[in-house]
Amino acid sequence: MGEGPSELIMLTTGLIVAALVSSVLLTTWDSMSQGLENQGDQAIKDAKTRASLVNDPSSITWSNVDDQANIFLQNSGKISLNIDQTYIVLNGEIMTLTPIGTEGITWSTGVVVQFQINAATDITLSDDTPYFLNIGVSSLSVSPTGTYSFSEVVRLDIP
Amino acid sequence: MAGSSIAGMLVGTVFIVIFASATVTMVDNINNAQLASQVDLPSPEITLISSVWDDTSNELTYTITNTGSDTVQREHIFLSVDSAAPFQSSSWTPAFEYIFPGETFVLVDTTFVTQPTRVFLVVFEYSSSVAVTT
Repeated sequence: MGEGPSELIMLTTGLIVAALVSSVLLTTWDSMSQGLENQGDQAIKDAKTRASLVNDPSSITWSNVDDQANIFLQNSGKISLNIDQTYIVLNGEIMTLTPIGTEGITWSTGVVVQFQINAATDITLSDDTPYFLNIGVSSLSVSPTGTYSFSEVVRLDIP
Repeated sequence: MAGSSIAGMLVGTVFIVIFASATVTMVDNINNAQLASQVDLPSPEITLISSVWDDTSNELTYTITNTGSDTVQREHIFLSVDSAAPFQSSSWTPAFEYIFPGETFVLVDTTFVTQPTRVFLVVFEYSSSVAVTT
């Protein structure tokens, strides 16, 4: 009979400790779960975001006079891309891009977009020399934004 | 005594239910994360078999075959001759909208006045090229 109050105290203490521990565990669990969910969504979006070079990499015409070339890219992924979020780097130089013949920023799957690329500074590239062309694209939809980048070795044809 | 045991059991059951629910959610998220590796990207394979120049008629004929297992829309196939800008294969005869696996088409291009040297074909991430022969 005299054990009643002490048992009640033990039970209450046990419940409080269990609640505290559970709260910590559930918070950690939720963070892990959320992290996995975000990582999964990002990985799926990245996997669906692709583009490929349409130009013949063995012969891309480059003008040393205008510091300019035309690069044709195809959306080879499964989702639409954002034309304005494309970047191209030639021989380590970030290029200024002007999409030709496009309206808006939507770039559907399978569609080829022509980009006129211009060097920001005066550069002189050589005929029949391999150069690295780095290209990056982003998905049109955000939260999360899918990204994809690739690199090609190209040979320039300088008139 | 009996009351506190029942209370303990009830609270324990609630905790188990909460943890079971959290575990189910986490397993779902792990499964979703694994779906990224199963994204089925388009993988067409159109092979440029040959490109022949006819000096008499100034015609360039491209022979293309769908060597893959995907049916390919013609407007997705691009050709590039020497270092000129790529163009859609749908510019030439014969007219067709899709090229099915195993099918072969011979396209006739009459836009050149002199013999080109090389033709390059691209469809998505697949490319193929041949030297122009006479």
